[in-house]
Amino acid sequence: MRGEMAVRRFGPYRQTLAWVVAVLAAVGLLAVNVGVYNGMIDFYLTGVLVIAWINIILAVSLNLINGFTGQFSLGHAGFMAVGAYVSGLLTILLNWPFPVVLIIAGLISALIGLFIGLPTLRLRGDYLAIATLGFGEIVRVILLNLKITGGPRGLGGIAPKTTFFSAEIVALITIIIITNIVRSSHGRALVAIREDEMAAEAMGINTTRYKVMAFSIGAAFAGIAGALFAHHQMFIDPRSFTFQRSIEILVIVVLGGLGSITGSIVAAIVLTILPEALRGMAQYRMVVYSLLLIGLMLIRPQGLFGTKELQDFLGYGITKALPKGSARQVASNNGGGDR
Amino acid sequence: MVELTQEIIQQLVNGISLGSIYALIALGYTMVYGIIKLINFAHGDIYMIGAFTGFFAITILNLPFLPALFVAMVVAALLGVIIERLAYRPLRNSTRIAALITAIGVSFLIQNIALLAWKPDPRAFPDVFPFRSYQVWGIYLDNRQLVILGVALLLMVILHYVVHYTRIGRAMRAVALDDEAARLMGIDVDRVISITFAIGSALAAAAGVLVGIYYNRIDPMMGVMPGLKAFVAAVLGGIGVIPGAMLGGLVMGVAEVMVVAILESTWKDAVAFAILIIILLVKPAGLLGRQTREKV
Amino acid sequence: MSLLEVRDLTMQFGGLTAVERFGLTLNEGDIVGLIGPNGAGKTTVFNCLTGMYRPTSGEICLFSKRIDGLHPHEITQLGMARTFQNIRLFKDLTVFDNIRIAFHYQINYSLACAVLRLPGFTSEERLILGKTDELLKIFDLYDQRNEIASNLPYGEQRKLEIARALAANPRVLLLDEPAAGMNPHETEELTKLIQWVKDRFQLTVFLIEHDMRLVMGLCQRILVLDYGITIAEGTPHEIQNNRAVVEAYLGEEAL
Repeated sequence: MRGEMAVRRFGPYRQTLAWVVAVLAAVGLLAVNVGVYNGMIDFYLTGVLVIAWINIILAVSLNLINGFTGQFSLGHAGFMAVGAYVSGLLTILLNWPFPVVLIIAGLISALIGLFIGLPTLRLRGDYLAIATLGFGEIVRVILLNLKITGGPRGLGGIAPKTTFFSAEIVALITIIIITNIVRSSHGRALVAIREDEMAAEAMGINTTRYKVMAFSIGAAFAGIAGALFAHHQMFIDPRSFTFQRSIEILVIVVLGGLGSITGSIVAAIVLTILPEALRGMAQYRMVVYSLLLIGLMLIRPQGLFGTKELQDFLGYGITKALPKGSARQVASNNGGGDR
Repeated sequence: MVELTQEIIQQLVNGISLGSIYALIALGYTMVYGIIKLINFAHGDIYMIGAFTGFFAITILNLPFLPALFVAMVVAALLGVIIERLAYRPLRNSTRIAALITAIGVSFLIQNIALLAWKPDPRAFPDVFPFRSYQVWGIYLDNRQLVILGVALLLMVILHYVVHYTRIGRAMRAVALDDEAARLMGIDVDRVISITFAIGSALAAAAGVLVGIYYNRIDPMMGVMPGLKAFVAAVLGGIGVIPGAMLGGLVMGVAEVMVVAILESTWKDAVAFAILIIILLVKPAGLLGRQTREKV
Repeated sequence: MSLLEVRDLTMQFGGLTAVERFGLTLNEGDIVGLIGPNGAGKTTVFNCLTGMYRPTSGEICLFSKRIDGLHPHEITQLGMARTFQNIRLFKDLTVFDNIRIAFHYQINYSLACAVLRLPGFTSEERLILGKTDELLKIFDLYDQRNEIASNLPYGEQRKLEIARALAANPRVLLLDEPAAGMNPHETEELTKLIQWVKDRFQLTVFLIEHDMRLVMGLCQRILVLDYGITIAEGTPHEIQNNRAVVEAYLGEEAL
């Protein structure tokens, strides 16, 4: 009965589309893994896929801040930069094992996220956006002026430790962690803040603590993504982390839908692969990007998925709004437990 | 001691020249924000378009300075109105974040079209006023600084007159206070918003031409940093408050010049944002703004 | 024992005094009303009590503990919940989620527990699920549990907001104009509901209301606020016959 309702609400066509996307994703994931493992996918394409995984991490983590908690951050590139430089230096100077380097990069980014978040998260909406943008720019200027980071010349000679598989594992872990956070009481507290901060506070939710928490977790994963990026490119400089970068991540999140994890994943893949497919028109890439952004806001400001997840469109999705910590339990209750 | 004083005054003079440019750009931000609560991210790019229009008016149309300035202002005003019509007006009733993202999109679009059309390399702005320097009590002042100060001051006086002593100015203030009430009083709110965008964009274009004259070079990305800094100036002065934008612009200009004099020029872009974060945390309403309280 | 004790509460905004030397004692099981003309400072009193505003001066004690200066969430966690004059539901969430979120602070599992999906997570989530459904049934909202909150009719939204406040497990409930925008029939239903909820959950209720029938029918005691000053306090009967009140407030309606 709920299935019928879903069909009526989304239309049979969308349900079919959702299944196509889901099947494609599963088959694609398998094929790509086999392809990379066998060496059937060449070096260049593998590089694109690594970037896709990194963008997924960036988008999903930014979504936790912007989409689920409703705190508009434009500083994600700043955290990415912190992770990239910290990890790069650790590898170059100390040559620590890669997983340790990744974790430290994440922790330091989280710490800086905490430090930035505590004062700035008092700000709302566009003011917070501008303050976080300012933070990102300050990070960039600091990197430009420090000796140890190589200043404007950048940091080179970072060992290429990021592989397709390491990026994949980190991305999958990111998705699982953030999904599990969102589908818990802690995640519902974040969504409550997005919906109405004052009411959330009145319901006993420590809104400051949760905003800072979301911000730090998002920052941590941005830092890890930055570390993967550094060990993939082998060279980083402050120009890789301008606020344009933050906006590219934002575009992914908005396109996928603020508050939809699967939306972020799909959008990250599309927006990583698409420019590669249109490589002949490289100079139009940013024009297309900006038109996409404007068009999206005018036509479908909620993004492709809105706050829904792919599985909500498959037919057995029950609750319409996130979070749906126990959608399946609700289903069984509905089916058998009606008195 | 005298030398130090002279040095400080010299930097103040330089800072005020730069600051009056920030102030001109900041006025557009503040007016638009005051009226529709939107950070018009594309404002810095309108300033860039103004500079390029002035450039082409002088080099291709062979216009002298003042007519070229006028052409740049008119073109930018039209562009501002068109952007508002096409991109912002349809979103007036949606969330502010959606409008902000759209504004970012418009900004990127203008930049990238300009990059395609005019190439990323900087161009030399024609030498409209051959450099001439004057020395007063050991302080150097050049004719370009005088032009900037003169034009900026004149435009601000005109703006002040328009906002305070004309019908349209009164309508603008009414819409800024309460657009719904203004509508009920028979004010054509859409028209007022269009005119606000036109005025703000024209001022930004004037700033663009002045910068071209001052630094002798323009490029498609020139609007990004000054745009952000002018926004910071508007916030610093108290967003929505016109005298605040002027004050904020001057403070920003002076602060930046001082940092360059004391530290290194590579730090100057961080100053603006450091000021921004501090002001947002200490006095979020800005220097001249009024504190408001969220209604429960 | 007095649950809530307010002494000399004063709230100023700039030079404007919104509430002056407000005093109140709520005893276990009381149901007290706060009335007064528009702009008299009633909601300001609520905002001070719930920590939304920090009072300029005065003392507020809940269960003999000073609460002025605490954050709203801390006060809610101590056992005082509120509703809002202009209904502040989580509009885009389901009826079910609106209630479920209010159980948040009663949840004990940690973030790590949620990330790793440890047994504590599952059992507590199941518990909350049951409690939420129970509350929905009590308030007759169970059939609309999957409906988006903003799609509910106005009266149901008010009901949902009260149910949500109850999910936060309060001993003191503050209701800000619960009958605003309701027709006489709905108001009558609401009056019964408040009385019933109060008895069922053993609550102490403090409410702001414009609707005289609701206040007079429900409250044991009434305070009248005018320009921030308490001009009268007493039983409904005493208030109805108080000259100052009739002049300041009821006068308008009597005419």
